[in-house]
Amino acid sequence: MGRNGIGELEQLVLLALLRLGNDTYGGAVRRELARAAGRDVVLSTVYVTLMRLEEKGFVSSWMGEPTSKRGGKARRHFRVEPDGVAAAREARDTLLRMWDGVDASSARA
Amino acid sequence: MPSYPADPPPPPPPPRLAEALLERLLPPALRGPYLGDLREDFAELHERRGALAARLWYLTQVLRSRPWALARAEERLHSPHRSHRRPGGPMTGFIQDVRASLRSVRRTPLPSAVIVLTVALAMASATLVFSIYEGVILRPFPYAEPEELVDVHLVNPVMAALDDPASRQMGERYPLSYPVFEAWRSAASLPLASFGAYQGDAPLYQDNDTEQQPLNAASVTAGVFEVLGVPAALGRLPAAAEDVIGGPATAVLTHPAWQMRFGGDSAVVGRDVRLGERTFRVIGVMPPGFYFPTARVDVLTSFSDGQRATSGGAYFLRAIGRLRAGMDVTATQLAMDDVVARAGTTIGRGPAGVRVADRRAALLGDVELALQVLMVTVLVVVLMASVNVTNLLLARSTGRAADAALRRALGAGAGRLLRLQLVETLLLVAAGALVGTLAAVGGLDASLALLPEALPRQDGIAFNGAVAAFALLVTLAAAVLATLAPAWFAARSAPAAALRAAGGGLRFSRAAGRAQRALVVVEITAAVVLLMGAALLARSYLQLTSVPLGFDPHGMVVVPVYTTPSFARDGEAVAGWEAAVRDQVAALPGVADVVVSGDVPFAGGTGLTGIEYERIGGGVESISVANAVVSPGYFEFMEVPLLEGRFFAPGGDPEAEGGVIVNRPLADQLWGEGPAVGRRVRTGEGEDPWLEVIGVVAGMRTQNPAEPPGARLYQRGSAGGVFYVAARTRGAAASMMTPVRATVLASRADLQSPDAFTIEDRLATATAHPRFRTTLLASLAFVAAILALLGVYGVVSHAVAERRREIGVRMALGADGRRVRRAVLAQGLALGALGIGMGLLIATGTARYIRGFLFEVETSDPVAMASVVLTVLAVAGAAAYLPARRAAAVDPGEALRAE
Repeated sequence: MGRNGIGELEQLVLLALLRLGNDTYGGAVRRELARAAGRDVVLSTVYVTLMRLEEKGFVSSWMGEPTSKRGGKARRHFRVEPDGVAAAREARDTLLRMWDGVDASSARA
Repeated sequence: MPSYPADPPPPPPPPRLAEALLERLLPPALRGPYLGDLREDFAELHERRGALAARLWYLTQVLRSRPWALARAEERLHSPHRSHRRPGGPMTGFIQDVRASLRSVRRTPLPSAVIVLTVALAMASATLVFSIYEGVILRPFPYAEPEELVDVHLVNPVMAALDDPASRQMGERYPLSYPVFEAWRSAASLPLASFGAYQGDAPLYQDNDTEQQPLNAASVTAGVFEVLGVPAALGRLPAAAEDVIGGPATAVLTHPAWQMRFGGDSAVVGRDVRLGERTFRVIGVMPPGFYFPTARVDVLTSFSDGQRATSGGAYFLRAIGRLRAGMDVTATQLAMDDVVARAGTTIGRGPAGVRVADRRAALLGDVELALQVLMVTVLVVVLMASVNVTNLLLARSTGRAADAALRRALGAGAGRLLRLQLVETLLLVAAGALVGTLAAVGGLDASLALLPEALPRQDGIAFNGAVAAFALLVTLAAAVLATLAPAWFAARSAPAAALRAAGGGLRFSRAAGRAQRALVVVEITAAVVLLMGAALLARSYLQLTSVPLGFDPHGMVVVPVYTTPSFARDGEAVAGWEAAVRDQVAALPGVADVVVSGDVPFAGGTGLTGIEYERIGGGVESISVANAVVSPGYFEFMEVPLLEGRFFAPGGDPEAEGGVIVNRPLADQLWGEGPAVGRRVRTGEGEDPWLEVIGVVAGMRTQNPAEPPGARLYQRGSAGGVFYVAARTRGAAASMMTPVRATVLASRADLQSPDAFTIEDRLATATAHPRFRTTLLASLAFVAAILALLGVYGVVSHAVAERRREIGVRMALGADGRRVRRAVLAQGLALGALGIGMGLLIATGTARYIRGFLFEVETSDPVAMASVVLTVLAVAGAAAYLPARRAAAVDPGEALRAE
């Protein structure tokens, strides 16, 4: 995988972040993946992916305030950066280009 | 009044145990967000699907969380050089291991520093001692097939039978005379492949160039070069045909002398050099590394015709030979006995024997045993360091037992854990080895200054490849040793045990604790053994340096003087010169007293003469005794106590006075306890007149302070060719050597004088070997004591840290700080006491290896034993004191909350 290529899980997490809007966090991403993509992913996998995206500069994060609902623990908020949006778009375009010309019936088979 | 909505009831908490476990495993930056997210979901599930489902879900999340992946992702995110390589390459695992190790080192800076220091101490000691061992013992002698070289001594059976150890030694290794050497060399049945002789104990003679470092020369026969089998690097070596009366005076330079005095100029071959009274033609230069007979000799010259032509009386040659193929020392000895019998060799008119001895063993003497003891000692120190490193790693690994257990639960194999541990150990040990080796290289020169001048082959001592290889080997051995135990515990900890432990705070396992304490006891035992050895040697050294010598050595400068035979025979001229030189030297500022004598203590050899004496019951018996020719004032000058009779009277005619003085050992030997004054002896073979004993003086130790005074007969008169001008100075004797020697040399034109010396220097040289042994062993024992201190400190403070909660509970229940402190101190002292007991047992068993080095000290010396016991108890107490204070200061509330 090259410098700008992203894996499937990374795409899904990026899309979940975009769907949830800015200021979302790891637990919400995990639930969104389960709800919208039907993927039951362990929280640690979500975090590893988020941090990998952050390392690539596609997302950024910051710490929020602790709340009693969370046992006094703060949230770590994530936001998609312009590079991340571009990467998601490029991944989508790549897929569409590849699907273009693939016979619908043979794909179904 | 506004009403505030009541706080909503707090959501039910997730399983405490699982959450605590996860909290320990997560990288710190992720703990809050990660656990908070899980709490939110847990609360939601709890509300929707009930407690059981929520708990099951939470446990799954914990078990499937991959803390290492999270930690890695986190680490990569914050590392300055973001690496996008994905794990999998063969190097990635290793780099990860190194990173994990560095993290672990950063987390525990103090234990890590102690490990590095420990290894550095051990490595520095090992490298130093091994450098010396390698240079002196292991490095081959710079001759062809050195193991074939033998010394061939004449044996003087009369002298060898004397009580005095110095005489006995001399009698068993008596020098050859030129006629004896010639007779053996020309024997048809000589059982040696080659045979040569060199000037043995006689002083080296030097050239007169005062501008430069003097050249030391020794005379050798052509056969010596044949025996040594080393070809010249430049020019040629003398041929046997040249080594005859009337042959050319030749000189062969050693490589260092050629470099330093002649600038490495190859045109030196064929040039003449003047040494003493003679001129030699330089014919060759030896290759680098060559020396003979010692590294102090710069030039090997031919003998003079005068020396070659000496008749029977002068015994001044040392002989060496090369064994014939297929013949060992014993066979050669038997064949040489035969040669001596056929040649009818005698010493004077007395019998003579021959001794063939391995040259290497003779050169090294007891140095080899001393260095072997030191090598064993340093290996013990290295093992102690390994034990310490093991202990420190063990303490750290038990602190992380849950950590290791979870790695295993998550699928890390025992192999991977072991590898991680090994990498960490190797990093620490390598750092310590590097520091230690650098320190040893830096400290080598300083340590060489400590070496006795008499230590053979010390110029061969250097840091070199073999030493570096040894250092590396020791490092690796230490690393493997230090890893086995901690890795064993790390790999053994079961996941279930770790989960249990997580509930009540982490505890280190009982087996690990026992192993730790056992190792520390072993360590203290080793330290006790080394300290005991050091204490015995130190006691022995103190005894040796404070033993009464029988005379006062302080402030004494001695100038040896060689005169021409014609001058020495002219009694009146000698007496006149003696008086003049005495006055001239006495006039020097700083000189309190002067004596000119044929003998001074610690000047070197002993003269020997045959005498007849009147026995108590009547009759006459003849024996050989050590004798010395001294002048009036000699005993007063030396401050030798007079026991009976009187000293030689100043002035007067020595011939007319006709008396002799004996020392107490000789008087006892000849006449028992009774009075000796008035009894009679005569020298020579019954032709000389009887001489009356006029006085008895106390015995002096004149060669080796470790040996009791030998029997000695003192005659008044002039010694012949050799005098000693001895001056008692008021200030530092060393600074007076040059002016006294210059004054003596100026007193007559035909005198020669090798270097002046002080008696105190000679004494220091005579005790240099014990000082060297003692200093080195004491340093190693000191290192061992420090290692034991670190070991006890590590174990006790670790135990206190582990039992912090228990101590807190006890103190909450009313135990007072003093009792806690006493209990912890007692733990350290108990370890010390166990080690002392075992150490003393082993020390008693091994003491025989150093018994030969001890002077007037028993191996069970109570003073040495008591000082070792007190030292070790003090060390153990000191090591336990800090942790004990920490334990007494535990705040019960805080200790309980911390869990």
